[in-house]
Amino acid sequence: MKHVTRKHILLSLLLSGVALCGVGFGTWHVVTRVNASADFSFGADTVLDVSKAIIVKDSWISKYFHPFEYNENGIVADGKSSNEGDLIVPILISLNTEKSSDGIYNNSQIESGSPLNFTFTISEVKTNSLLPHCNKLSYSVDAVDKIEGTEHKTAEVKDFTKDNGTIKADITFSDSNLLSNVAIVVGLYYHLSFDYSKYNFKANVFDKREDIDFKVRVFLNV
Amino acid sequence: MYKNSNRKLIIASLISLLVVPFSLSLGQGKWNIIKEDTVRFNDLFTEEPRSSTPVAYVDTNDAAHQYYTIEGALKAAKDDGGSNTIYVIPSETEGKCNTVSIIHDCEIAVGDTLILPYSGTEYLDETGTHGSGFADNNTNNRKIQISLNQNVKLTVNGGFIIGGVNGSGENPMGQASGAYCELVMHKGSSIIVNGGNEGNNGKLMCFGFIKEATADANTKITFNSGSSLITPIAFYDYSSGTKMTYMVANEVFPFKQYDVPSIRSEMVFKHGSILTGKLHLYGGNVKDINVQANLVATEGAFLNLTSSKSQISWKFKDRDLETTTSTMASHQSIIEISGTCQLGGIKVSLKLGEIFGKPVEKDIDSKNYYLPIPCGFDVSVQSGGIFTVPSSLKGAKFMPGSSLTVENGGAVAMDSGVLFYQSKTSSDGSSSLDDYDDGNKYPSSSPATFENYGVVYINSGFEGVIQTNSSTALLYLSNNYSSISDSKEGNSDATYSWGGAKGLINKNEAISSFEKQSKYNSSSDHWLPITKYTIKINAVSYSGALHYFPKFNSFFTYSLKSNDFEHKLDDLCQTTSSNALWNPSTISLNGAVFEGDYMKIVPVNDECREISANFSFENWVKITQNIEITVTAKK
Repeated sequence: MKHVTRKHILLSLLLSGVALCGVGFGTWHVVTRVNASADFSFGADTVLDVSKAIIVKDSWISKYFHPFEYNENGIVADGKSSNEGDLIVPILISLNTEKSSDGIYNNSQIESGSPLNFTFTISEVKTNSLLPHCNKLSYSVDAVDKIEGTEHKTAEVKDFTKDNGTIKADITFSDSNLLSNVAIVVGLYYHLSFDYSKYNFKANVFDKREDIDFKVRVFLNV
Repeated sequence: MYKNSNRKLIIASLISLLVVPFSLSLGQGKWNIIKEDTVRFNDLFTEEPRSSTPVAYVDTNDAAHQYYTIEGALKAAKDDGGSNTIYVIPSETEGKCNTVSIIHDCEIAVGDTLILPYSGTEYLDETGTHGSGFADNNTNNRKIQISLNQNVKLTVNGGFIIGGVNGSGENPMGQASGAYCELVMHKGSSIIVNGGNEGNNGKLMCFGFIKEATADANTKITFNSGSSLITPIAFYDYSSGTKMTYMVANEVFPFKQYDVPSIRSEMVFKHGSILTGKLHLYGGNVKDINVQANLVATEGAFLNLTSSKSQISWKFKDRDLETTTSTMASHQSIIEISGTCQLGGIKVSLKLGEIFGKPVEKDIDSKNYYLPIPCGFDVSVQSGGIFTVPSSLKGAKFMPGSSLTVENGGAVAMDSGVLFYQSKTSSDGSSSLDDYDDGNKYPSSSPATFENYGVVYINSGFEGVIQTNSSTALLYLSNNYSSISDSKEGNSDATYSWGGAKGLINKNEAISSFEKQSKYNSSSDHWLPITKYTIKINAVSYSGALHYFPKFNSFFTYSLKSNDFEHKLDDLCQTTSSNALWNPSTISLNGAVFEGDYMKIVPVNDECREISANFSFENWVKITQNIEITVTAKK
């Protein structure tokens, strides 16, 4: 009995240790450094506060994107009614978490040359009223020394899956200078189209704009 | 039982040990990071939804030409390529105002005009009488309010008209007093009005109001060369034709309370741009008097920018951001001059009455009078700026409550008479500024101030107190300087003078008069007559340990030599260590008082017995001279 209990305890401790990997990071599910190769080294005393590595919504960065404008009738483009426009989810990525007083992020600990692989999944939490109208997805990635003056270069996402209010897309982005910059700004452009003769924008969107939530899941692989 | 259980547990543990690291290495990279977050639809937008009804139209008010945004209407007009008029749609409902935000940078293209009418397509009425005071005290008058959102830039290459009904039947006159439109500029927003080819210059006309959203909004309207602004100049002391006739006959300019109150944003006028004041006065007998006077231009204006790099910043403030008070008591007009600028004048053609049914008109050019600079006008000459009151004018009088400041590096040349009124009352006490104002008494009793931190040349008549708080300012009074004794007010013969140019001359002395053909150098808050001295410093030997260097005065003889006197200063020298600063607290010299100069004594090293010192007299006697003295101390 005594012998068996010791084994149990040892194994339980091991499994508990593994399980603890995901504890303490809030909404973070997995954070791990799998291959500590020499070209991607952190100092022994480096503490990576991953809670700030990806910022899905930030009032500061969202100022640099211009999603569609709308009124209660629908989308407004160049002052006229339009049946299409881009809904943009801005994402800021910085593997170093320092954020200076002027809002600039630093990632000087990361060496350049590493490709970035993103997987984005966005789904509507309750209303399921907008994403079914998305027929095109594009993205922009900019690596910037300073966020101000960023010019977004949009590229269309060729492969994305859409399933009743949930959209998933994989993006691989490589830039030899990418990680030598201060921050990476990603914009996900969900191009929406509406047929107002069949879709009541006011009832489904305008009047519910306080309630429409999106669940955004970002998987980043460096 | 236990065995079986143990086996299962061991197998499970082994699987876990194999699977967990594998799962962590998914993606074949070095870092895998997953984040889930929930964002709200509203959080993806930094701006409120647009209007659900059209806010503007291009040329024709029908569905095809209507737009939900001003930016969209401007873009459509620009893309059209022709000359279009873009109207913002005003509220036609009593007490209602249409509000629109401009949230993106936009442009009024060459040939296009953006109009904010207060009704239909009407944007200006300058006839008859409408209301009293300023229209913005009653927001029922406001028909359109446009917000220029934070950091948004509006470029005006065509025309931009902000409508308003101008002119009341009582003082103040000329301002927006009835229905009006308003542009509110938010923090960091700006308007650029560009010049262009002939006939295509950007033009802003503001007959309503341009306000700032907050006190620290720091907004700016820049008028580049060729562009122009037309906006009301308001008069607060318009008198009857009879009274004005008396004043003009008495060689008194009939207005001393006026300003440009419709725009709160800082306005920057570059050389080649024009600010025109549009004036609508109304008299019971003479009816409408409509006058335009250039206030900023390259020539013929109130302020003339005379070099290509000169510019004027003009900012109007009142105690309340949203409303304008009917007297000038809380008004401030901050005017900053950069580059070269000449004071000019204001020309108005007034109807002074009627004879046999025909109007009696009188052209009044302020160059023939002392031009009043009103209460609340705070004029400053910036570094590098040169402001001249030319000899072609009779002169200028800074009225109580106004100021002129010459900043460090700036200069003012007064080639005609300039007065800084020290009170509202004439020299003999028989007359007051209040005696001649209809409705609005003169709103300030504070002496007009004149501060000099740069260089001032007085080459003509002058009345006022010249203040400073500097160690570098200079003041020159030429042989043509004199006091002024012919400045009058109203129709009184009483004159206003205070004994000429005065100031605090020499510390601890009462304010006294400056002399003609003399030069002064500022020293803190007072002025020192500049006399050229010869400086002679004699070094003497010292024998003793360096660290016990005794009082300096034992070893040096300092002398200042003027033409006819010599004064020894050695008894005033003090130092207690080899690194001490020598600060003569006060040096009396032939009745003058000097202070603030110092000597720093620096030992070469502890062993060396040589000490060098630089003695700068730059601020002291107005000659730049560094004298190095060497003391050889013997062991």
